[in-house]
Amino acid sequence: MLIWVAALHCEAKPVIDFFRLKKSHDHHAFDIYQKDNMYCIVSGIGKLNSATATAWIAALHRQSRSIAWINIGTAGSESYAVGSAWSINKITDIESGHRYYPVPLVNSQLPTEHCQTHNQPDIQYHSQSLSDMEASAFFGTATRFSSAELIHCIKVVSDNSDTPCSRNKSEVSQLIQQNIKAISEFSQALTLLNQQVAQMGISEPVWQRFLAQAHFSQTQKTQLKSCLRFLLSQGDSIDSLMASVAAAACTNASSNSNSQSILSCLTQRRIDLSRNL
Amino acid sequence: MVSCVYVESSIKHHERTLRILARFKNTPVVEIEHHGEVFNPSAQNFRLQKSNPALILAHKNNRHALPTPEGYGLGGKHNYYFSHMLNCLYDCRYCFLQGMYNSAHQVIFVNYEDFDEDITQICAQHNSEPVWFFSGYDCDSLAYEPVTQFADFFVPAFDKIDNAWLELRTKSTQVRQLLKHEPCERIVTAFSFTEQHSHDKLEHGVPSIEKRIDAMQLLVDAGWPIGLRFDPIVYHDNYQTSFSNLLETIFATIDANRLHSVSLGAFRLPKNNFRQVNKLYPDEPLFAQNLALNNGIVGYPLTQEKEMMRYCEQQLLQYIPAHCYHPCEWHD
Repeated sequence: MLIWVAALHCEAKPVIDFFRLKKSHDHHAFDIYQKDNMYCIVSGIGKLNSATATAWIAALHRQSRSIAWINIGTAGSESYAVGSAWSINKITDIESGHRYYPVPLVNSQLPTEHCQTHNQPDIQYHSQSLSDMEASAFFGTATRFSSAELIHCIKVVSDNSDTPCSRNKSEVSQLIQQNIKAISEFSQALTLLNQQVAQMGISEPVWQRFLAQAHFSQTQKTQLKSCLRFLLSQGDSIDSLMASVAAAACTNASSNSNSQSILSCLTQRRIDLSRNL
Repeated sequence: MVSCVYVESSIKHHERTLRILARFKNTPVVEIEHHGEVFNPSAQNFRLQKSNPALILAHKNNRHALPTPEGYGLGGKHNYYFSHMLNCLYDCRYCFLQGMYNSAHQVIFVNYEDFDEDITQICAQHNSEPVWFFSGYDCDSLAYEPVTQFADFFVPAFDKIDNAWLELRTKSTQVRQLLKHEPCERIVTAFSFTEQHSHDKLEHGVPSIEKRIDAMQLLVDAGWPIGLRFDPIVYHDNYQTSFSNLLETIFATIDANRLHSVSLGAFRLPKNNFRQVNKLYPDEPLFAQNLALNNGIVGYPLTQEKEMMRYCEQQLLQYIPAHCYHPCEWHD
């Protein structure tokens, strides 16, 4: 799953249009657009709004195996050209002093730059960085739900010391739109990375099917998950494993013995499969 | 390929920093206050990072050399380790470094002179008794030599301290810097090997066995002492034949009488490290094998481990003199 977080609708619009996302009418706290496994949420301006929207949508999708995130938006800069797009590799929250470092893992055409996040619009441009109003809160919140490799910020310069900030929504959309190819390639690479993480997990419905076979203690659940993750990675199908588990469960009458039998059966299969590395 | 270089502000003008940065001209450089800001946060995925790690240039403030954990050493009385790097270039699935840190980025501490100062002081404290220092605990000693020039600095540094002994432990073939120096009998380059099947399955990015043997021979020819480390021995159905073949291959080239030391140990990991690596690599057969917890260490069941050690020991002692053999025994 990939979630875009944008402060303003005009910043989200190029992404919504490019990926043909449709407005969701299921939720009203924030505007959400969706298609398949991609979401875009419009948070409103500022750190609090960004953090709230990020946490809210993460909670909505808490059963997702892995979420990748991109904060898309505009930023000010002293000297970079209006319309230039940047992937952020360091975020400094000006008010708290906290620093965050998005992990530069995604191969992308976007150059990288430092971003300072402010509570108020920053008109004292800094030569060494971009300035925005959301990145630190977005990143700090998203790392509660995903690992840092999956969380990125893309900022397009909307104003600099020569060109003041535009209040025209269509102009803001246009600035992002003109970088949409590089932005979409970035998101594709991130999605591939996210799939690697998702593949390591077990989906919630599958996990619940196995849990329903017996009463497992917390320790047994850990053992069961470890066995299943290995066996599924080796090509065992869910149906064949369910058949083994059901057979093992039938060998004992009591619920506790059932869980033991299931674990013994799966553990033995795991050992057999791993003998030759 | 290095994805990014992080540089601590305090050492951004350090001569070693500038030399290393010159090698990464097209790589983004990010200034940081302390390497822990990047290296320590918990919300990191080691496995994802390992495929494309960043480089962190940092200053080590204190505790440059530390006593080794119990049982680590080659029979010496005073044993210390020091780490000019954190994390390894290679990706060996059995290695405890995978579960050690939150991050897979490579940290290089550039203030070698401070390490040298501590090492000199420690040696002075032990009068003239031999003191062993192990540099391959948190990293491969030589694998990143073209970037770190670690051996280039520490070989002369150890050469000048009469009671200082150094083990450089490596799976690399980076011996070029060593060969530029006169050999020192107190600096042992120890090469780690697993047999071919385990090498193929578990040692990602490690040079071939043959290339490492060639590198060993270059050192032997130049008069450097070398060691062999068969640790870990990993179980599979054909491990005995495969281990015997490995010994045959090595000793077809290397004169066993030129060996300083040989050690042997079965696969084992501290419980917490095992839990961590198993979580990182749920699809790894090595961690799905029949393993048991014993005194906080996860390894093969005792009888199986003894049998593996006995077999490998017997094979090994057909080639090497007993006095240079050091089994890694961690059981009570």
